[in-house]
Amino acid sequence: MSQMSLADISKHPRFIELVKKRHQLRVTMIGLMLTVFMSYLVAWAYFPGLVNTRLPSDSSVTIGIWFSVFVVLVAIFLSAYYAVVAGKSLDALNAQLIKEIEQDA
Amino acid sequence: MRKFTKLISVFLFAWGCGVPTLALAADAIAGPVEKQSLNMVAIVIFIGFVLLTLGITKWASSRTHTTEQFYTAGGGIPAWQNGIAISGDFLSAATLLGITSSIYTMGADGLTIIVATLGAWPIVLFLIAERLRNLGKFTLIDVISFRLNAAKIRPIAAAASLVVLVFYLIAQLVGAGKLIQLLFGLDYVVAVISVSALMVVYVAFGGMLAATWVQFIKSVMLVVGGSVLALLMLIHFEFDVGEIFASAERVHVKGAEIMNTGGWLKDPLSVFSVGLTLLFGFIGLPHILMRLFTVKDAEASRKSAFYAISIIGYFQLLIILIGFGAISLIMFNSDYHDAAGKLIGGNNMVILHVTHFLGGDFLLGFIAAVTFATILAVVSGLTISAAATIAHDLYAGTFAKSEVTEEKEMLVSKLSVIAMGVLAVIFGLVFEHQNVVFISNLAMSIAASANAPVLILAMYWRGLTTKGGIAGLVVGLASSLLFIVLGPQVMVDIMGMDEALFPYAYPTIVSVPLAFLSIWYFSVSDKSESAVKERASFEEQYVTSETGIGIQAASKH
Repeated sequence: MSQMSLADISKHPRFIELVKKRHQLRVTMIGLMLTVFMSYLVAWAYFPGLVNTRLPSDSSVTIGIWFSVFVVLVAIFLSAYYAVVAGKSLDALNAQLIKEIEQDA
Repeated sequence: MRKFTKLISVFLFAWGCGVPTLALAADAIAGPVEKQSLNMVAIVIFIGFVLLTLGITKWASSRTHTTEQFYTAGGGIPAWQNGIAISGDFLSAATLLGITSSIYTMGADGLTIIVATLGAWPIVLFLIAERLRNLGKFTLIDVISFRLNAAKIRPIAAAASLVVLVFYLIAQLVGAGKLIQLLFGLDYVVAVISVSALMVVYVAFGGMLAATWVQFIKSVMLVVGGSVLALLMLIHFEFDVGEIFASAERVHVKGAEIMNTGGWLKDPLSVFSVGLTLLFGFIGLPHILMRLFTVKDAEASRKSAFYAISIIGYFQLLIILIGFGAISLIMFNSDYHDAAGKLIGGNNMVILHVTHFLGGDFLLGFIAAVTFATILAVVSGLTISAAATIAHDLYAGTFAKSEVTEEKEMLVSKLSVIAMGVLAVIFGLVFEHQNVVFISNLAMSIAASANAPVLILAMYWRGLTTKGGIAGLVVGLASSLLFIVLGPQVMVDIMGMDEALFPYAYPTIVSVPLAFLSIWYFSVSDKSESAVKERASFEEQYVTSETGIGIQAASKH
């Protein structure tokens, strides 16, 4: 595989497909996580009334506590999706790219 | 090998000598009879942990001959095991004791630390985990210097990493010394020397493989202990989670306010500064990122980050229950307060008191031993990372005049480990009576401001040049130092002034944007020939970072 230079690989159609897909996935995932995280910080910083609202109203549990647990669960869920589900198809694509390069060489 | 066994027996002897003083000291500090039985359980479990980990170290030392084995265990750690070890490296005594006590004293605002931690980790996974593994060999500096002028940027990046690691080590050790003093009744000096000596033995002989196992075992113990504690808490409240919060609200001195925001973070920018510090701080922690090199490829690196996130998230959820539950059980319980009405051992002891309340002496002994193990696991991670930075980045990568052989680099690594041990003892003793909170915040802030911006841009921005990278490192480092010194933790808490020049505890809200800005400015304005080449070589780095092709060729030095 050393026959093909890194510059050649960067123009390989399979490589372009791989990085495009991974880029989209990465942007989506980071976008989702940052949206959740930033809205948490914004809520905490600027909407204390909302964060301090009891839910259900006769309990002591605030929306802030629910939101905190929600962020933890979202973090685990998104990581699982990225690392296991979406990652699998990209790994397969990467393996295929390496195979094609070796064949071409 | 014989040298190793001899060293262990000398060490155990020295530690054994410390044990009698420990029982005496316990009487002096604690008084109540029950504290002594606590010591026995804790000591037995802890000695078991030490013997087990030393046994593993002996085994690991027979498998650690090359620098690659020393720094990254030969890249042969399975992803699931590495994930657990990362959580062991990451969940420090500060998490276990600090967050619980934050919730206990400040209420809901303590949750922001948990959320910022869990908000930051997935970003590390999405942004860093795979590219880091594909571009680097042993340290994050490998990645930063991949296409830049290594001779120029390595020493400065290494200095930033070392500052982070040493400050982190000081904070851990001073905290550890005080904690062990309280838990085991061990003298502060003996405690600091014990921790440092064990740390040196693990890392110098067993390298990354031993550190991995120490972190792995500790993490399993921590998760088991935390789960048992949370379960006992639920049983105590008859599985009525709502009642845990309702009862806390009824009992707490602050009343309903404990569930509300503003107990700790008084203004909006403080909220953002916590979020920003943790988000970028994790991206820049050398000892955590180093763990991603111990697996075989980018796929395994990504998976280990996911396992780590799951464990850390699960544990943090337990901490929410334990923290709020502790308020009802401990706050007005005279068993855990001294005559003056202060919590015995200070606010950091909340989780230990609640453990004693729910699980008696045995569980307390177990959690106390886990706390000690936690400290060992974290300082071992810091030490191996510092050894790699000194031997790989500074010695082999920058300053060595003659040819660097495998043997020479190993020798330098081991000497660095010993030097870290000596440094740890010295700083531990010097800072015994200092308030070290600012030191750990400083470590995190420098990681966030100096390391993280350069690392992210080295991976993702074509325009980065050596000049820009150096500017970012220097500005990030200097501005975090400056704003911490001018901030409330130094000016108000330590120097006793009424008001600080810089109002926020974390400088990142200024220093992180400043670092990004200076990287951008000094890169864009760099018209030199080498800068043109560096920008051009981004193309090849891009291919390697995405596919892993060409790693071997690239990472040889």
